[in-house]
Amino acid sequence: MSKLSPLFKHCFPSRERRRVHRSRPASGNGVLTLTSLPPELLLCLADFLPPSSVASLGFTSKYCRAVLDKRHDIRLEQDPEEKARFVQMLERDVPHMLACYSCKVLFNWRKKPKGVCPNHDNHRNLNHGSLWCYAHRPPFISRETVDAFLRGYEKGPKYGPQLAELAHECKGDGGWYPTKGEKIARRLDARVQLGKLLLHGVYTLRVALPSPPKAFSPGYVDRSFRHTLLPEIVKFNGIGCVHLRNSLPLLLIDAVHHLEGGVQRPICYDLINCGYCATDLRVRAVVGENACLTIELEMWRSLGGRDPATRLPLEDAHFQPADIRHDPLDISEPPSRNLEDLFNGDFGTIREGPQNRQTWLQVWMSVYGQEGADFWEDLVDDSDSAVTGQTRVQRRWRSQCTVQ
Amino acid sequence: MSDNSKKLVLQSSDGEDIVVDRDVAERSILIKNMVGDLGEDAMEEAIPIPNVNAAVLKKVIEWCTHHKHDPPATNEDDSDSRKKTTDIDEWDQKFMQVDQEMLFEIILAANYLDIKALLDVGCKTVANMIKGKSPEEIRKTFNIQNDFTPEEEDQIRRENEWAEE
Repeated sequence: MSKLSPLFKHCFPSRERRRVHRSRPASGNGVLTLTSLPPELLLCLADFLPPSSVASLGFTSKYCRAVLDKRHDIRLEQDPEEKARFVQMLERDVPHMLACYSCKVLFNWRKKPKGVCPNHDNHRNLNHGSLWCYAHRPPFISRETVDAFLRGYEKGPKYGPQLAELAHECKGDGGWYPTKGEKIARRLDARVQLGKLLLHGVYTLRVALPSPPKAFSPGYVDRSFRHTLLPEIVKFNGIGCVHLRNSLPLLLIDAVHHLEGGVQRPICYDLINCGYCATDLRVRAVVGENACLTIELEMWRSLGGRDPATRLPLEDAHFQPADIRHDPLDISEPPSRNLEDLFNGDFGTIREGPQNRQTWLQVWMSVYGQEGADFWEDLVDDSDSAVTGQTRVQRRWRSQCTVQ
Repeated sequence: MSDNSKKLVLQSSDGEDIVVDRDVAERSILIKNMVGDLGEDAMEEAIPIPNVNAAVLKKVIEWCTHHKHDPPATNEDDSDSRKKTTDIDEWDQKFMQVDQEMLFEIILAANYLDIKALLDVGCKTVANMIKGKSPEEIRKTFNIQNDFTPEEEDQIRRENEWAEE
């Protein structure tokens, strides 16, 4: 020590500061670390942290909790936004817990109903389920279920359900009504692309081709042909997004009408984009061997990613009442969204050949609205319809509302 | 008026004498006050810095040298404007690319020597390492021992869980 030391004696830092410096606690192996900082420096450091990170730091050790608890609201009771951020961070340490972005709490995603927040029914927004499969579980996918699958995809089976649980093939009643005869075959699967959960379904029905279709002359509509097919095609009703209402059978009829030439490129082969939710679909009708007619609907839906800030309003629309509109739909602008390409991982590549034509579902519905009314009149008149009745529908719906 | 061309000798805790320009050393309020109190005497003898070793002291002097022309820190601007941002200027970021031991040594030294701006840079650097991390990730980053019992941990976590009926 310098001989000046006595001179400096009165200039040295306050006793408190010296005490702090000398009594620095070190970690177990003697190395200086975060918890070696004296309380006032830990507090000084916390001043540079958002409340969610202060709460996180307060969770690391007794020392940090004791120090921070005195000056900070580490329970974040007054700050719901920061609480949400904290819960999202906390989730990473506990694989069996998932953060519910609506309630700002963790819940056990493995408990039944799987991936659904126990407080789901009290969520103020995004509290509807998106229909997946009537015959299999889960029949409905909730917003939190999407989060659970996305987390499971990103971090593995300990952290969330796996996409394989969404993939299956089945053959059963496809829509709202129990039906007779041939059932619709379904092939459903899901992928994650660009952080979004995408659902894909192919719905196929093979029916015997009715009496040979006549060669249509322009403007001629063969109602008898359609009338024969109608009981089969109506089985598709209820598949697709809620905004289709009762229009899907009509779209399929349109496809059948164009089987034998007709218009060069019938509208039914377009990628049809719903303007009210993130659902795209195509319908096809193909005559195969043995006078079989295959009617097919292929559908892609984007349920969005986990971060609400990056989700599109139309992706959230799956979880809202059907009549909620975020932005008015401008039907003068053709749609540009292509969930088929997104699902296939084909991002923005320019195709060769004719442009992939797209149509708004809502344009199609407004053009064919009157025909839709006729269609349902025909169906009601037909006492031998494939639809057996509506009485069981309510029961069926309710009994399958819970995801197992 | 002080003569800034003069040199001071600082003696580290491990006994090394380090010569430093007076205006550089006076970024430290502690040294500045000492020199102010002692006047010319302070120039003649080594000033003992008993809590800071030579390696850390040299690092601190390096920072003070780079920042010697900064406007002097006003003691009382403790308030929000200082705290809100965790932006660190490029040179300081590079300066702080040291191992954790040195980083915490610098923070303790800055606190001891009363160099507010350096203390802030140190705290911001650590804050940026903490931000966005879960408790377990913070423990791993800083090698913090989790000393909660499983029951205590459950208890704390339950505050953030859906209460089972």
